[in-house]
Amino acid sequence: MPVMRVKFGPQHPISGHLCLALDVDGDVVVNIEPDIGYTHRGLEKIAENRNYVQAVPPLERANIVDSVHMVLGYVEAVEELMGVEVPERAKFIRVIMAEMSRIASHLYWLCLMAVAVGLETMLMWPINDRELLLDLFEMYTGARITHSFFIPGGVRRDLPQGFKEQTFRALSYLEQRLGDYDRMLYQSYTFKIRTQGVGKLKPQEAIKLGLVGPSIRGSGVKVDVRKDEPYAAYDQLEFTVPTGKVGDSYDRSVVRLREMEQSISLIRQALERLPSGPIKAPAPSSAPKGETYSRVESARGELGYYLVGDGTTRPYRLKISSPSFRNLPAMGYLSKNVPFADIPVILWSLDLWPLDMDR
Amino acid sequence: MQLWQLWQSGYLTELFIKVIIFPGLVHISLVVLLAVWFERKVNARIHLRVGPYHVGPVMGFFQPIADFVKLIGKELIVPEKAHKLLYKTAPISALALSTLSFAFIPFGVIGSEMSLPFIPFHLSPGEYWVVYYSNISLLIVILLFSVRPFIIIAAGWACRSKYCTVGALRTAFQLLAYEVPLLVAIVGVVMVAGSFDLVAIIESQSSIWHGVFQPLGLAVFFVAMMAEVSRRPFDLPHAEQELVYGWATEYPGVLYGCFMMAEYVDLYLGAVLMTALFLGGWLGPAFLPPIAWFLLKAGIIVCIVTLLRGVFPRVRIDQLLDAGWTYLIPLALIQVLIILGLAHVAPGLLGLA
Amino acid sequence: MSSIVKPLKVVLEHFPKRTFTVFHPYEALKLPERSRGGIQLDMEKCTGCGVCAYICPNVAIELVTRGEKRYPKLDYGRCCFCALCVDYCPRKALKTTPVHELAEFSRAELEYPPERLAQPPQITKPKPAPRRKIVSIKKIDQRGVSHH
Repeated sequence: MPVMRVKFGPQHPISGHLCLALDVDGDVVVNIEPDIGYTHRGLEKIAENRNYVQAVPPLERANIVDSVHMVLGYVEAVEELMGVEVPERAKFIRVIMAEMSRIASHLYWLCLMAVAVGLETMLMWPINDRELLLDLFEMYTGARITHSFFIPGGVRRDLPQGFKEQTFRALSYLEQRLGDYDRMLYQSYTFKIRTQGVGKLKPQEAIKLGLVGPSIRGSGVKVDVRKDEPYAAYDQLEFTVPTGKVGDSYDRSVVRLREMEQSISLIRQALERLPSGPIKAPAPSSAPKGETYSRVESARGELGYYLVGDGTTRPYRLKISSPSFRNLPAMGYLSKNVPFADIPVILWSLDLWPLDMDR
Repeated sequence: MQLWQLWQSGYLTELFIKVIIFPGLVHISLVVLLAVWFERKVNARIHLRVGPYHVGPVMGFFQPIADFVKLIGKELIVPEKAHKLLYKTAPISALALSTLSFAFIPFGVIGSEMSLPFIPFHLSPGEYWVVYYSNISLLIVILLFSVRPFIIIAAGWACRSKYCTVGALRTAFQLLAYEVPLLVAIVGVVMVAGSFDLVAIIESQSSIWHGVFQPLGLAVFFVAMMAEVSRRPFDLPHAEQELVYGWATEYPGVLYGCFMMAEYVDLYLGAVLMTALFLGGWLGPAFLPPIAWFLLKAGIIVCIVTLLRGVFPRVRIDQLLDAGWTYLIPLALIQVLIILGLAHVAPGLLGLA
Repeated sequence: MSSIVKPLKVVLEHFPKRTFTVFHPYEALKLPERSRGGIQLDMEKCTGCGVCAYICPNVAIELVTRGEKRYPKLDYGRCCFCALCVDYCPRKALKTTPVHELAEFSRAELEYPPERLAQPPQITKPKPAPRRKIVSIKKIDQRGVSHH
């Protein structure tokens, strides 16, 4: 049979808003060409036309499933540029919100991974459990996903009454549910034969490709910004960074499950040790001339913000280095001569989120 | 006047009742309605949500009818390059073929005399609820079952579209490969019963069901039946996640509705075959009529198969074919050897001689 | 073999659990008090300083004159419900309300003049259930968390 060009187009049930052009020979994919840019909104230019507080709502829509980390990186860069010291209570609150956002993002990833493998049950359960976290967010900030809650200098409001008890109840329920997911999906025979041995990535290849996040941790390389360059109270909390052994899709999925467990323990520690004090420090409205680079560990990997200030209330240049864009070459590398049914599995084990890629 | 003679002897009425009402079109449509509704409700229960709720008297029972009416109301867009004749007749022929197999399967024994007032109609006990009685009925059903893959290939090829072609090829591989374990699993049953007549097969289970001494055959038949009917976890033919809808991507409206109905009719056919061959057909204690036992057993199998939709992910095509050829065929052959051995050693156990 | 039986066991354990469904619009959704929906203006406290119009990221607030004073006019078509205007108002004249059913039939009706912004929020009541009783009505704060 001649080689056919099939488009996993932007309107496809499994690809998100990402377009992949596949060259298919029978059942084997010979070559793959990604075609991104369908959701490009020009967020970096938008940030140039807003001042440092106004830029927070547009920027968090870059990756809306994991919205806290997008804002956290930006706010850290601005504070470093302005030279503002954030109070301790605000740092702990930022850790709590960031870890809750990480769990929410991984639960959303779990839904999509299960759909890629063909199990609808594991689409419904994690999305329902994510509702608990969204209810907690709504109790605290007022919005479920689009919080826009950090401003340069701290957080906007303090924790309400009863937040701690409600959070502990939700966390103990989530721990039990993670055990259910483990038994239902990760120890299921069909899931194992679908993902084990698929998309194997050796550590040297992963480093050479420049991957970040759970995709590279699945291959055994221990790279995590929270340990290498701690920010926002992570140096005062204890946690481990899970890594995989073999580097196939199964290991990458297991790494994300273990990260969820670590996040639960981090939130518990932060809530126990929450210091009292102010939640905001005064920050000037204009930034001095200079440039900074700040990194955070979002759910998909390392997110970098490069900010150039020029003495006015608006930045001169903001560049976002997103993890999904950095992980995209792995998709092309891993998809040479694989069966057709492996393409969604590889795509979602790398967790490429098109909104994050295009900004 | 031959027609008047046929009417007087009650043949036309009997034919009408058997073909249209039971075991005919109305009964199959009701079972399909029940199966679709049950599948949606059971899967919703597993997903911790409520399935169809508003349409119908009891928990959304008429929802499949509402969906079918919606499908009929859609515009039929025929692709430009499609083969028009094949495109328009493939769904109907798939549905007709699946329904035709029900004409040869006996559904029960008539226990007492049945007749209607004012209309000549007479059924005496000892007759069977079957539309056309033949002593090779199992062979005919298997033959019709084997023609299905070709209709699906024709349906996929008729669209001349990339998604459909690849989907039709995968379907062809899967369906033709799993015919063999299906047939080998039936060999044991036919050997014990001694004929291809479904009535004789069911009557030969009066002492012990075939499924008791042929558990391997039962398991192989179950798995092969699920793969033939393309149910999860073997539903690659319409793997939405990869190929939008596989071979039925380009079929709009009522044509797609016909394919979907044909899938559920096939599911019911597989369940009925499994009941008749392995689980004793209509035999059971006397507090229920034989028809009720038959429908109950077939219904339980349909319930189990719809439950398994929410439990397992989907397998890949090469893993599916490997499993079929490496595991299922040898297991079925081992079952045949066991039956041969048992027939020599302890024929009384199996109910023979 | 156990990897085939385990998922089946997990699924069978889920049969007696309660559903997550909320029967909207026959059940009311109880939102927390900080929930960010529409904005309400207190015309007594407002001085027309213009900080809300300055801080809004999407230029949704515009100040209009009413006699001697100026009041904000809000365009819900542009609002992204970030509530920065509520936080930054020096007189605390703006307040968030949990009203989230704000749809209109034309774009012109989405611009709320200050008089309409000052009206108290209208929270929609649940509709009466149809001819038969709703089978399962649960309280929202018991949803999910008490599935132990």
